[in-house]
Amino acid sequence: MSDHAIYLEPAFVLHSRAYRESSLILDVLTQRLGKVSLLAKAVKNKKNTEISACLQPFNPILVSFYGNTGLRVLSDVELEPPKILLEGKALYCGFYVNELLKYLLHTDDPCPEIYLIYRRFLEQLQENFDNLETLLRFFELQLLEALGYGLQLTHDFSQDKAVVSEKKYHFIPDRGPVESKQGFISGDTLLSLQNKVLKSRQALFEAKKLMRLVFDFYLQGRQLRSRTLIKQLYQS
Amino acid sequence: MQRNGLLGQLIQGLCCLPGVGPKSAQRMAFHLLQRDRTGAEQLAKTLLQTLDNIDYCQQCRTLTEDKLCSICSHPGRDQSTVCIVESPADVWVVEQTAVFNGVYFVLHGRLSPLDGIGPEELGLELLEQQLSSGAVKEIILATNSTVEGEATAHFVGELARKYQIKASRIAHGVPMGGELEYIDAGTLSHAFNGRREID
Repeated sequence: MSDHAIYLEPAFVLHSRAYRESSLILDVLTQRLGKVSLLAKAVKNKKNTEISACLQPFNPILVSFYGNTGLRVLSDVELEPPKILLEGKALYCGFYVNELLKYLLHTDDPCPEIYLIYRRFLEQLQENFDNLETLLRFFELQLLEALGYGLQLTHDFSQDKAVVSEKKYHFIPDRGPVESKQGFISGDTLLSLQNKVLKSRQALFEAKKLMRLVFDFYLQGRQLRSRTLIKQLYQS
Repeated sequence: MQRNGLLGQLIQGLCCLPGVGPKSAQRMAFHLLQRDRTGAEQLAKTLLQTLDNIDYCQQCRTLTEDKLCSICSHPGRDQSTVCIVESPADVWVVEQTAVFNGVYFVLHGRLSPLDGIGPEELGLELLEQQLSSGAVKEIILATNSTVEGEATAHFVGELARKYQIKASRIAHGVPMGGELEYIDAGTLSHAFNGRREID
């Protein structure tokens, strides 16, 4: 057991589902081991409310667990202050990001960068209520890069030319922009995404469309429920 | 131990109860058959009857044998204040405190996009109908203090705002008789954020 024991690993719970009466199966994003599945035994008991409070999504925690691969067993968890408190719209953005990570990350595939990007994103999310959309777009860009699907935004591959800010483009997820008069994204937005400055509403709108296209491609047709939920919440 | 036949079926059937494993189920089955046959008959009849007759209340979606539950149809209850809870068990708990004299609305779950649970599954359309009718003046959000519970409260809160209805969230913090030394950091930080002035 001790051969494969991990102690006090920085982590975040992405999703938990009930298992039997008082246990949980957790999808956890750890710093050094990537996404792992953990079995948290008897944490829903009355005696263990402190532990189940720690195991809420978006809490920075330190987890100890043992086991080889597959489903490992949680042995201890503690909060790693400062606590991150998400409210309102930010909470829904958090769900969206968790859903993305749940489906895009492979289990037991180490990627320390993603933990750091995620943590920074959550910290920014709780402070910037007005910039949620910009934060999300930059998080998505960084996530794609860390996953090895980084976007090529500055070069029109079909004509082998640099992207020009006045022109319109289409986008092919695993290749890049292609010039087209009916394109949905302007060269200007592509270049500002590259430079990490999104200012106008139009640029934000185009960037959202682009990210949706790219993530739909990598999610291979899987629908994101949190996206639908956010739409329902803010349309009504 | 032979597991087929009627006795085996009964033991298997009892295992569907929460907290009952094969061993307890076995004890229950033998007890019912050897020592308390009338009790067993009564239990079987009641179970069948409840399954046939108990359904959701048309107004608050709690479990009841009538069209409207005893709380919704009680003339003394304040119909303009609605308390939103996650499960029928929560209605019982709040009723025991005897501090609330309004009516309830039971969601039977909470918003959880990662589990595929959205507003449709929680009967929020019915709630919206009630809010839009103008009879409701205030809602109290008593969903659990989990991330999903908070998300649900926010969603219902937005609905209330759309119809200009006052919405409040139950407080969370230090429990009665609790000593700060033994309270976890999360609860304590909630308690500090939700502090109130002494008048």
